[in-house]
Parts: sequence; structure tokens; C-alpha cells
Amino acid sequence: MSRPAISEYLRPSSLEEAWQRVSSGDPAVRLLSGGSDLTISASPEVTTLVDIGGILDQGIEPDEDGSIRIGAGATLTAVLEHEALSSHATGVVTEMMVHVGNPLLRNFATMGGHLARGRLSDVVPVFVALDAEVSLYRGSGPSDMALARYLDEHHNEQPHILTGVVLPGLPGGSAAAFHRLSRTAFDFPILNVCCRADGSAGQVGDVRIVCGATPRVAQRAGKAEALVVGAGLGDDTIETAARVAREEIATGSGWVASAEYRSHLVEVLVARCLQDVRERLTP
Amino acid sequence: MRVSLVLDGHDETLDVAPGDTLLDALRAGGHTSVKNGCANGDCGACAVLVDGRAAASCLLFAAQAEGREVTTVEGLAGAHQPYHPLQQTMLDAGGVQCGFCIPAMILTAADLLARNPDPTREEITAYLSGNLCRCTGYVKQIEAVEMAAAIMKEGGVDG
Repeated sequence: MSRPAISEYLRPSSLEEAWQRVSSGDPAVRLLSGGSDLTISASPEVTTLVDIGGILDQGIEPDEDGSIRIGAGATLTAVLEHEALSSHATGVVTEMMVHVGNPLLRNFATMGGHLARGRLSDVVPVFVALDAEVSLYRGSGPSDMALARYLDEHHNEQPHILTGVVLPGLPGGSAAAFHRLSRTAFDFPILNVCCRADGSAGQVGDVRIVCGATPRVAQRAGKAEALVVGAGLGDDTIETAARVAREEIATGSGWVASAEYRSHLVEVLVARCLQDVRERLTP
Repeated sequence: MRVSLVLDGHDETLDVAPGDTLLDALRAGGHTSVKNGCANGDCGACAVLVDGRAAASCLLFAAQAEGREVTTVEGLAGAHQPYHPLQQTMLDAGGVQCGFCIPAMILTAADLLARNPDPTREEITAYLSGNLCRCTGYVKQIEAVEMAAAIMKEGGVDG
């Protein structure tokens, strides 16, 4: 296993100071928050680490409008254990987070580092389904954008510092569910799905169906969503939506699973998620 | 570069390279209870407490320990000499076979009991899920944590 040949380790005292070191976009310079990914997977060209773990906001702040702001420095354990997050969208964040790594990783991996790495993740599909927005710092005040857009368009755009993520308030009665499959409980997912619906089981309002580890980090199943909006979550609707999701979600083959198997899992896990959402919505 | 920290209750300064992991630095300093298993974040044998929370030391840079309190199993006993209750119950329950995973498992359990003094068996199993043991079926080790929890609760022992 190759490890990065780090020759310089910096601890800036402010975002401004950190920005001065990363604003050039030099690929030899990498930001570090929790560290858990960089020690084993940083590119060999990385020679300078800019440790922003001490200056990132570590707070998790619920707002009166039902939104919850999570500082980029908050650990995954802090997210898992936070009371407000355990009840947001029927507790889907907590339901998902227990599957992310294990306590030894969650205790130091940060939300900012996890999202900014933009790779295989159980967190991302759930946060996309919850319409999460990220805050980015580029030398001046933060700019916000949807997490889905950030991952699609801006993740590889250098430079930026991810400073936080906001889960917007949801309509009363919103429900969500998460399912994943992996070879072992500790392993990365072969596929994961999060579904969220507003309204009631008899008449769904807005809905999100998001598949991850396809192996893309997150894809919305827009055609399947359109089938569910305005309908009731009956068995037929769920079965049809799951099949349509299977048809529209592009999957790929890798060493853990074939594209065909992943497509099969899309249908199975979407159906399971929608069934759980139905149980959690008011009738 | 130099890293100042509190290591097993003592102020220490480590001389490390910028890319050294905390695992590298601790073992180089003679703290060989911190085991180098996979060095990849998979096995948990390198776990230490950093500011009281269990962490895979192979996934932290040594420089990240600056100003923090790091505890290895060698410093866990503290006032409970010669052994912390978790160390004693791990012996009493027969949880130790080859012993390679045990220091890290004890530290992870110490983190759990400090936050959850009365964990269920399921909670113990879940919290130890990152500590792999190739000798046992985990049963005795989980029993050891349950025994330690009971002792610590009875005796008012802090984690």
C-alpha cells in the first residue's frame, strides 16, 4: 500500500489562512479534517497537508424552521448521536449512520471530509434525498448549493473549502427510509437506496428516490419519482416504481458486484424503502 | 516536526515526520501495546483513546494529536492499579487468547462504558464491531465488558 509522501503539515488558524494555502489549486496540497481517508488513500503527489480540523465548525444546530445545520467539523458520531437528527425525517439519518464504518472511524471522520471526498457513501444518498445544501468557502463569505449539484458539477472544481451542510426543514409528516446491501456489515455498500415522501400514504406529495454506490455516489430516479407523486403508495405503485427505477438507474460493474446484480438490487431496495416509507407516513 | 500531547497521563513531545501516522509514532516511542494489524482502518488493533474517544491510530496523522490526550492500554488503569476493571474482567472471563486485539478492544470498550455505563449486549456488540478478533467468537469478550460494566456501576468507577 502506498502512502502519501507528506513533507509539510500546516495548521492554519483561520479559514482565510487555510484559503491562502489551497487557493492556487496546487494538487500537491490537500485539506485535512478527520484524516481517516487521507492516511491511506491520498494521491502520491500530495506533499502538503493543511489541517483545518481545528477551525471548522463542529456544531449541529437545529433551527426553528425545522432545518438542521451540521458544521463540516462535526464527526459522524456526533451526527449519529444528535437528538434533533434522530427525529428528522423519521430518523433516517440515524438509521443510515449506524452502517457507516464503525465507531473507530465515525469518532474522527468528519462530515465535511466525508462529503468532500465525493466517493462511495451511505451518507450521500440520504442527504440528497433530504435536499441537503452544502456551504462552500472560496476566499469570501460562504456560498450555498445543493449537495447533488455540488457532487455532479463542483466537487472536482478546485479550490474550495466545504464548511457545512444544511438539511432543510421538511413538511410535517414527511417520512424516509434507507436500505443498503454489503458483503459484511462493516463493508462499503454494494448498493444503497434512500426514499423520502411527503404527504400521506394515500396521496404522496413530493418524493425522492435516490440510489447510491451504483457505483456513482448518488442518482435520483426521476421517472420513478414521477410515478409516485400524487399517487397512493399501494403495492402496485411500489412495484411499478421499483421496476422503473431499475430501468432508469445506470449501474456499473466492479470487483464487488456486476452491473446486472446492482440493477436487481435497485428494484429490490427501492421497493423495500417505499414499503417502509408507507408504514411511516400517516395513512 | 514536534507534537506535544498528553500521552498516558504524561506531557510528552513526539518527534515525528509530517506524514507519520499516530500508530507509527506511538510504536516508535515504545508503545507496542498499540498493534499494527492492517494499517488500513479495517482491523481496529491499533485503537487508542484520543480525548476519550476510541480511534484507529493508523487513520490519524501523528500531528493531529497535537494538544490532545492520547491513552493506550498501558495508561488506562490510572487510579485503578494494577488493572482497570476492563483489563481484569477480560482475564477473568477468558476473553484473551492470542491477545493481539485485546488492548484495542479494551480501549474501545472503555470509550463505550464512559458514555453508556449500562450497555445492552447488542450495544456492546455494535460498539466493538470495528475490533476484529481472529481467535474467538467474541462471546467471552462481550461478557467481559458486561462484567466490567457491572463492577464499575457498583463501585462508582469512572470510565
